[in-house]
Amino acid sequence: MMAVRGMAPSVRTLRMTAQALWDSVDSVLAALAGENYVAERELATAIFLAGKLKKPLLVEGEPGCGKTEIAKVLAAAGGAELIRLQCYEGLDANASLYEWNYPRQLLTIRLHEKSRTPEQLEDEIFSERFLLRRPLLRALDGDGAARRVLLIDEIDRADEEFEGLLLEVLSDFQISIPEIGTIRAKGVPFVLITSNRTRELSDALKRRCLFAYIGYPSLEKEVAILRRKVPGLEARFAEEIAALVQRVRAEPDLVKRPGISETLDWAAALLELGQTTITRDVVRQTLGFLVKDAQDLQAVHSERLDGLVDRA
Amino acid sequence: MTALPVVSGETAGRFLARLAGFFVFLRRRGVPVGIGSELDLAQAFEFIALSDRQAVLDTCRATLAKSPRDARLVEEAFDEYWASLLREETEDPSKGAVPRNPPFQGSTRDEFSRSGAVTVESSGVMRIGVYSPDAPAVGHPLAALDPRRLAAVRAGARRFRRASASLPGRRFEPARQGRIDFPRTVRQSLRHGGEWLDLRRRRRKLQGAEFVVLWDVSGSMKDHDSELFALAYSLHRVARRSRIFAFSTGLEEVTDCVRAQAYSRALRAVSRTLGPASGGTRIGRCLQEFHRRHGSLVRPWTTVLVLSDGWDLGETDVLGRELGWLRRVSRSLVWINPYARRPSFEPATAGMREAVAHLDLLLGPEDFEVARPFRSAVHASVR
Repeated sequence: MMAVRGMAPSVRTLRMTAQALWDSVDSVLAALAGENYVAERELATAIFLAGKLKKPLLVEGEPGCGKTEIAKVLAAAGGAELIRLQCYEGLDANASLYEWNYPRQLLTIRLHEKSRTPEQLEDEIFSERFLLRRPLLRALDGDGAARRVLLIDEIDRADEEFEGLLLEVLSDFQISIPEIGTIRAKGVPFVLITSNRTRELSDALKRRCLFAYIGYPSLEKEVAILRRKVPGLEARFAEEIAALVQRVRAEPDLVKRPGISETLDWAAALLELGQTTITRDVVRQTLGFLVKDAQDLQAVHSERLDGLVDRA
Repeated sequence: MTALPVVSGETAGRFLARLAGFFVFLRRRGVPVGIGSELDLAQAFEFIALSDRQAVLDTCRATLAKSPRDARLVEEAFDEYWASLLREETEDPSKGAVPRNPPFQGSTRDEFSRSGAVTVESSGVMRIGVYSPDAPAVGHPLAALDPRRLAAVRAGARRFRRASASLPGRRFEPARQGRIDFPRTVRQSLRHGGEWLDLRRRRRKLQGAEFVVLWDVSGSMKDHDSELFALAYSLHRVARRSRIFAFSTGLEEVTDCVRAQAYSRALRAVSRTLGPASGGTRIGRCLQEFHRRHGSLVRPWTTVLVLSDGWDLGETDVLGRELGWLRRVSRSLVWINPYARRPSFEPATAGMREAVAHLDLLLGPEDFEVARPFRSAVHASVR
């Protein structure tokens, strides 16, 4: 573990170089803990192995349980650049890999069409100067000195065709550009792919990845997360909050169960309201932080609120 | 912490043989372990302490599992496989010299009940009873549709997909906004002496569709099962992102039985998966279960098709509420009633009476078998 100059002593001990981060499972756990990310050893092992084997890590799990956060935390802990590709319906090569800067190419042609031959012009406008680098290319491009973290977020939102496009990038860490050639990564980035399992991913993609699943946390873990992420929250109050959230989560027919991010938002809101314990009124007023489906909200408000709070 | 039996001074060759046995064991348990994953695990062992049981288990999970189900199965199989080896060695150390594959002996074992019975004969031959799609069906009887009718339904499903297209395909079409269409821009420029005065643009043409099919398999639908399954199957074939759920008093997804399967195999697989065709329907409760468990599948571009006659034994207010939700979050809500094209049809059943207020389109299965364009009806239904 190496110190980083210019940081407060408490932070300095927690930040590590990229090399130290991948030393062992324990160093990954320490790095995650240093960035206030509470993780089980199982997840740390998967992260460590993905780093060592230079393979992408596919993390699936419930929404709001900290999948995306892993990439941010690893980038912060290793002092690496985080490159994020947010997936969406219709995401294609132009938005994810690279695109030619057409307006600039046109301008160059018009400026030099009389002074240069067509071959010279062609060579010029299809050079790297006219290439717009999108996240996947940016993750591979570089001197390889610092390891980058590439986050491909919510891949299940993208089309299946996009998964096909990812295969070359993820297996060989290279991108073929017909006009230039093949660009190979000098340093392999740490690739984290997240999915909410709204659809099944292709076998080809899964084969190229290591796998980890993040479910809802246990009571103890949720209390630990609250204590780390919400400064000023007393231990007893944190336990009360986590216990109530666990009970809401255990309700059998909720459409949308609260994740950790909802718990953190709710705890922060309760603190802002000056609460130190949970009461029926304050739960009624702030339930929207936890329950984010109109039907669930109606069911909890009308039938179950008393039962949930009474057991607190 | 228990050390693995394989690391207690054994040779690397024996360890690898046992590891290979573990892969076979996992495959028989339904975890699709590929060669790539095997190599990943072997490589990963370089970086962890093999004497640490938890580290080895975590490594197996990270490298061999590709879904939460796989992860659970790997964990179950891990203890079973390696603990069995350890037991065997403790009882008779000489047995450790020749790894068996998988390392069990004796007759039928309870642990295999999910994947079938396992029997080891005295000759050493292991017999494992596993599922075969060719074995006679015992679940929900489904008769195969006549090939000509099936082809007609498939064509109808294709027409329906074209009419319901809501996802961008690979082709482009001219548009006012979007990316510059260089070939058209260059052609246009010829009218102005080669000057690029007018930039033409293009966008992806909407060609793909996403369906969620909710198929009623209760007793009252028994006579229509075959044609409705053919329709669900065809919709999945023409729109790969589609999901199929069967319901009666409970909800079950059958997409995996249909995915990348020929019609006859899919028919048998679904037939085995579903229970007998008897009992009533609780459409509302089943839709509520769908909402709770799979609600995120319905997105603004999804067309939801309910294949049912509307006979509902459950509460109609729940049905109304769930249909209201489906209509709100989907692109369109289509109900396919096997009686809809009969001249005397009226929404008389409790479920249909509740449903009509929420539907965008009511069709009969026959609509998919006649060469009638859906475009105007579907376009009129899209909100």
